[in-house]
Amino acid sequence: MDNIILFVKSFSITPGSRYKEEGKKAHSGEEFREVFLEPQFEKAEKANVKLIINIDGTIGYGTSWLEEVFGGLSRKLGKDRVLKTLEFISVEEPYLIDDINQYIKDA
Amino acid sequence: MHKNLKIGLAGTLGILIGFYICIIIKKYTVLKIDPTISFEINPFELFSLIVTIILAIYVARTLSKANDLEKNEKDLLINYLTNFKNEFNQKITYLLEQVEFDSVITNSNFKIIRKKIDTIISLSVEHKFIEKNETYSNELINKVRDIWELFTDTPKKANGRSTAAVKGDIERLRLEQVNKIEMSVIEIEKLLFKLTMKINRK
Repeated sequence: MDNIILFVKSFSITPGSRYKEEGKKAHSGEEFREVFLEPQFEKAEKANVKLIINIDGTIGYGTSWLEEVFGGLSRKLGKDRVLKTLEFISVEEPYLIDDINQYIKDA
Repeated sequence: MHKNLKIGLAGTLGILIGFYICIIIKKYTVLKIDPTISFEINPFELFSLIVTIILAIYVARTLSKANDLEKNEKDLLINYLTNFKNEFNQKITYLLEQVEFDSVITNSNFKIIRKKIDTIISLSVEHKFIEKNETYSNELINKVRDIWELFTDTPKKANGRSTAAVKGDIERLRLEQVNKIEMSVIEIEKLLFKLTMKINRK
């Protein structure tokens, strides 16, 4: 099986707040993690392939959204598992990859 | 007719004066002009002349062109930094006026701000105006990231339903964040100045 690629823009081009409770149309990090990321992550782990997250195509991210998604996943599953399976692609904002990796390590 | 006669007389008088002055100079001076011209070619002097001409053309065309190009690149880069500073201040002032800091508008503005400073620094490195891991540029990138984090991880303003204590705490936290943001903006201006000076000295 090939690596799995997940496009954040297919969730929303306007990623918003941290928690779901902050609004129905908040496009929150919590919602993205639970509905999009975690199922794909499990699938990738089972198949022993990488889950590649393409973060391009949105109008921009907030710290709270990124931290909730990737820091949250790291708190739930452990940073070693997350770092082993997740990879990131970005042509628009390559510096965000370092930020995200830091959120995973700091979680 | 009377006027023409005057001009004619003045002209004749001028010619006569010139003629006699010429005779007097020839009679009383030893100034002589040799009607022949000697023409000699020294091969070393000729070689030196050719080298000088080639050097003059090289300096004028190649070196001056390279210097002009470098100066233009430097001016352009400094211009980018100045524009960035103005745009950055403008955006930060606008964002600080917003009720909610952690919003889609903030995310969008910071995507542009971070992309812009990253591009300017990449161009400066690419054109060898600064080193790849230059201290000021690294600090600048980190400071912009800090401000982005401060903006997008700030508590929302207290709403009408919050208790007085919660409202007070949220307002205090927000004030702290605003203060940190403004301090970081000053730091960024300082770093931009230092970076501009560094590029200018190149």
